[in-house]
Amino acid sequence: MATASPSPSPNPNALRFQLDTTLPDTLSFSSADEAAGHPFAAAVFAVDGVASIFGVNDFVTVTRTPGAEWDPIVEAVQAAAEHL
Amino acid sequence: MSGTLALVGGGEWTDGCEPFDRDLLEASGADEVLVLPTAAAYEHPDDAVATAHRWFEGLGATVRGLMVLRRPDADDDAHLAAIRDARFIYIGGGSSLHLRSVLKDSRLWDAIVHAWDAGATLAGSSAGAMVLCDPMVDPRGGALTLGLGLVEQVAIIPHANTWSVDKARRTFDLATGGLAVVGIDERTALVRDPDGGWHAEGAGHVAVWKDGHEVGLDGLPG
Repeated sequence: MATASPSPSPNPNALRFQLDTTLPDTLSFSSADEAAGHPFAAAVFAVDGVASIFGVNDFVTVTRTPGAEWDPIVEAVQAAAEHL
Repeated sequence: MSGTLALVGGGEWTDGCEPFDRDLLEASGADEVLVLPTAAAYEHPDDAVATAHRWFEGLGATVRGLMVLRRPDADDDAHLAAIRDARFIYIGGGSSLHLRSVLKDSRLWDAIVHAWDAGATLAGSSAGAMVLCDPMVDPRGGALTLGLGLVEQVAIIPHANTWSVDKARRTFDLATGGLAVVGIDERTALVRDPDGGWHAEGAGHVAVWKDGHEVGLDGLPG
């Protein structure tokens, strides 16, 4: 069970989540369809407003569609990280 | 084959930079670093050179400051000779606009490019990193402007851990068509090896963005 701690990134529409675990592979998904086979990514894309997910080593960056609310996305990432 | 290129996100010559500065010294095979404080021309350039001297002395190397501070200095034969003889050239931070105005289309810039093409190690921090690429992020508001183009289709946001959100928004709004926007934290280096591969070193993070999505270092040009 992992944790994900959000922090700002240079991109105003992206949050970086520091993980306390190391991802086995690079994650890169730009749609829910692409993420369908990945439990963590699929769970995050289930929330409205997620545009893409990128992850490598011990962090994941989630990009939102402009105007989307961050709170539901952050909650989804932190909940999904428990399954990493 | 070109030399190693390091784009540093600021905070050069301070704690946290040791790992990549050691690697850059090793890559250069030199024990002297030629430091250009050009971007700090109006902010005590002598102090910048002194800081670099203290820093690299701790790493077992000496520093020579090349006081290219104004446009005529970039046409000075003695300065050109120093560039030609250098194995490790480090362009420090300050005003990217002043730095660009001094170097653009100058004989000194041609000499720097030639030295790097011939295998010298070249590092640029903050303003120094910004101007080496094209386009360049205009520090005043985040728009995209002309850089010197040693690396093309890449725009650098230095001090990414503290950069202005409004400026960044402007940059990302303008960065279309597959342009890579790279955020580099302070005391962190994005390094291009002679074989064209990229890696990141240092205390912070390097993020590569294309069309608003983070893509990783393999999104950078070879």
